[in-house]
Amino acid sequence: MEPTDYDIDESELDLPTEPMRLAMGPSHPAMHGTIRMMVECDGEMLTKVDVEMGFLHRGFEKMCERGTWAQCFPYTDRLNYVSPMLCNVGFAHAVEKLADIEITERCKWYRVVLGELARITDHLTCNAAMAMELGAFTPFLWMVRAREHIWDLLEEETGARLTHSFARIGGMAKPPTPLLKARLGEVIPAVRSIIDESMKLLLKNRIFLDRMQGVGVMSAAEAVQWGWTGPTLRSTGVAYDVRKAHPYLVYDQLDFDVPVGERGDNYDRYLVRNEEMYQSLRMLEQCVQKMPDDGPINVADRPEIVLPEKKDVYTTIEGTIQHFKLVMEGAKIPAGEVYGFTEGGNGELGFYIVSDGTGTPYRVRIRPPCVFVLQSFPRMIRGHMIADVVPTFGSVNMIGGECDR
Amino acid sequence: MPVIKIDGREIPFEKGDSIIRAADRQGIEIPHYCWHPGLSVAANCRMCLVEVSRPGGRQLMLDVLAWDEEKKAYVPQKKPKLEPACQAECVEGMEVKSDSSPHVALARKSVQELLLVNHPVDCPICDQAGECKLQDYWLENQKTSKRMLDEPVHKPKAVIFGDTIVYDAERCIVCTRCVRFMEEVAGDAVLEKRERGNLSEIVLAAGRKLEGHYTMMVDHVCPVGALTTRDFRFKARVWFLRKSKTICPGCATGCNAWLDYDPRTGEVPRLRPRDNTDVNKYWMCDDGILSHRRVQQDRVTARASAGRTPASRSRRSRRRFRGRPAARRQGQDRLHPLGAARERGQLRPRHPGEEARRQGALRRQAARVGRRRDPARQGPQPEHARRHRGRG
Amino acid sequence: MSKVVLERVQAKFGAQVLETQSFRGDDTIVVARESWHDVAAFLRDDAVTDMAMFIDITAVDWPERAAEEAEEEGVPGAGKRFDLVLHLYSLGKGHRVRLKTRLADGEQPATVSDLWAAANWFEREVWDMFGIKFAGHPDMRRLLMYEEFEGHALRKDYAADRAQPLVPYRNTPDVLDKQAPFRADEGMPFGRRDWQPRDHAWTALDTETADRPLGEAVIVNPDNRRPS
Repeated sequence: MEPTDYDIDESELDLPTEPMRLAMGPSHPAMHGTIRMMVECDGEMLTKVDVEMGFLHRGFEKMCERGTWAQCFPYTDRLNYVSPMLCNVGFAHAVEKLADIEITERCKWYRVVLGELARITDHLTCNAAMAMELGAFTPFLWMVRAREHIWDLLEEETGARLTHSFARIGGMAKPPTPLLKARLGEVIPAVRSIIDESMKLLLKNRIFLDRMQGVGVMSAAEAVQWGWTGPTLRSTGVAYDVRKAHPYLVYDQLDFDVPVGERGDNYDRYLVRNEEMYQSLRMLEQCVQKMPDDGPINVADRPEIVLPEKKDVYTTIEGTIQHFKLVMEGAKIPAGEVYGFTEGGNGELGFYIVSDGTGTPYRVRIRPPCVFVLQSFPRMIRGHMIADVVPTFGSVNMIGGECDR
Repeated sequence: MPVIKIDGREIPFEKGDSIIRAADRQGIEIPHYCWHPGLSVAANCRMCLVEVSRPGGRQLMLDVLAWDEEKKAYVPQKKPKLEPACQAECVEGMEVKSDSSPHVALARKSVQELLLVNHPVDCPICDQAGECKLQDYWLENQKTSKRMLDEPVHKPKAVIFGDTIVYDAERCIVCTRCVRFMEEVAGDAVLEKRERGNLSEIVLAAGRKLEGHYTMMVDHVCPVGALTTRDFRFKARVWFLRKSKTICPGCATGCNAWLDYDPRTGEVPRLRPRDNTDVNKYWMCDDGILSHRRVQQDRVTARASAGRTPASRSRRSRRRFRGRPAARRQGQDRLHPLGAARERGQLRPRHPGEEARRQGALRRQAARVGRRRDPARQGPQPEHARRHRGRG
Repeated sequence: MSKVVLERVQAKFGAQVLETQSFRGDDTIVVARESWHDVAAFLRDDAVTDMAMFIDITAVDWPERAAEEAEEEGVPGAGKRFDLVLHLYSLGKGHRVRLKTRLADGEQPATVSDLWAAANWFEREVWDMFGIKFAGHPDMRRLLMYEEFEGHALRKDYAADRAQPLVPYRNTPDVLDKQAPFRADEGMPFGRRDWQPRDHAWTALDTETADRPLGEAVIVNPDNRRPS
């Protein structure tokens, strides 16, 4: 039987309604990350939305002004905590730009490998959580299993599952383990098959499709106006990816495509993230082929900035002094200001850093990509129903650490 | 005033000045270890070597063999003979190249490398770390890692020189500043140098120990961590300390001093001499350097209400009061009338000014407390006040 | 890279441009406060500069520089304490620029949120963290902190370990009252479009061309997933 509601024009009915105010968050099962949305609804329909952020504000930028440059790395881990390696590398990239350091070839490849692994975990988390909030718990567990493979690998490489603090100015904390390529050979197919399977679970599911397609639509022009970057911008059809547009590290030597969507709805955002995972896996396969097996990881000719090898620190006085000077007083980064940008999990992750020539940053400003998307959330959700807030917010991939800093 | 040029900059000098002294007066640092403005010139560390050309004089050039990377061979070259800036006297029209000369840079780098050849890996346990010239000059002038693979020479460590000073021969670069200080300023040549080359070290004169009123200054003239005072040893790491200018409270001389304090606890682990050529030149006596103890010890650190002495206070409140400046505490803590406090030995005649000030404050406070505590005038007391009285 | 932007702005605004510099590949334009909005609008609308993408707006506090300037002029508080920093990017041309202006404490620059919608929250953040108000901003609330927060945290004279007073329980102002509701024609209340499978060819993004049209890339669709 056809539902009759569709045939009735709402305006013809003179039903007594009254707007209701509802606070979604700061603690809400579907608000991953603490954020508050005051919504006003007329029945199920949203009439007004106000987004309030800042509940996880920890003063990242102020904290960076207290320590040395190297001491900022643990803070960057806690920005986007589902892809901390990308933030690590992004900050190192900016500081190296200011200090005019060209990192070694092997280090570039290593950063790409770890960064792309982190990007996959980022997108897996986003898509999995979004599916879970729509009630699809199996894909969530399934994708988190793929994330587990990657975290195991990252743990073997860096010593930590999540907060790696692994990048250093002019290099990495340690060279790659000898097992890296062999383990990548195991992890890549495992992750790929899991993504395949999770897509099969979701893409034929009527509930999932209905709640994703045509919801939270954003046009390309408006997305640019709101400063969107990353997968969300690409879902609207704008093919802006820092890795392609301004290649850094060795992205110009890798063969990969930039996936874009057509309509900029939740479904496109989901598909773009999915496709980006496949592209990252493609890049990782190329890295296994092309990454040099030996060679220095850290820059050798900038001892006033780059940390010495641990072996030298423990056995020679020169190494001890170098380590001491760099750790206790901080590497003296030349005075000046730069904006260093990389492709983070959510888009263009920028660090605007100002140095006054001392060992302590004068100003560290992060451009948080997910704030831009979150800011336009009232625009995306305009005219939708309360239930649409959940998948739309899920597809924003708001990460509290990065958003509130 | 006559001038010399250092790296193209004109520097005035007085007759008899060495290059390094003239530069020092203008705030230009020429790296040095053994030179000290208050001591005689030894010129043994060779760190202050500079390129000097005198007007009308012929610059002495040396024949050297330099490694040519392209030819993979040593090729003969000329190199100017460098002079120690602490010993070369300024002459009108002299031109000195310090930072601008590649020969000087190489000489500094080599000297620094030589000084570190046998140096132990002690920075993590060394009190000098953070204000050590070996560290500073490594970063400024050397920046290379170790080339020598042999076992370094080992020498005595933690040698007790006297009641105040401990000596570490491995860290010592034998600049002989301490020897010269004891001989020239303290007037007691109790320190001397023995052996040669790698094996040289500072020793006490036979049958003597380091004693007298000016022993602790040898720690402050020591440019590295070889001489440390037993007073400050292992008490604090210097990068946690902040300094402020002060006058030594010990006697009427009024030696200028730096007061190093720990901003986290408010403790003062040491007092250091501050240069003032009109009062104390560069020196302070042991009594003055140790006066930081008197600043902190045996002070009134807490209220002493009836029945409670500082010793009986809980750990928590002791922690709370430790190391807080007296002026801040005063407003917070009610003190018992003075007689009782004196009986318990908390106010001592060592601090007459403080005692008098506090006495007045106490009397006024006692009067106020008496009024406030009169229940007839005040009605029921709030909860926190009742608890307070019951406890105290 | 974007010398052309610097030249274009200099040619247009002349004396209003106080300084330009290029450092490590970043180009900076410093303008007078009065022409802040004009230059930003020009950068967005001009066909050569074409800065459609708002990247970031933030500030840097230089109290010592301000004190020196005030001493030179002999007027307390006259020094330009803040650098207001706007980063822009051109999607079509691929060049970036950093636009700066210098502000004394209390001076109000014009908002650029009318040029880029994205600037709205970030100007609120600048107000929150530095205490710089933007003239003409529609909603000058704090962004990260709460209204009762004392001081502005990223100023250099704000001690990092400063404690804030406890805020008593209160009702927050109802911001929804100020907002106009969504109009009936906005969004899609009922009856969504059905999803049509799309058939598109795979195209790679061409990075060689200077003018990059939007949307030249791989279009994602479950049906055209390339077999892996």
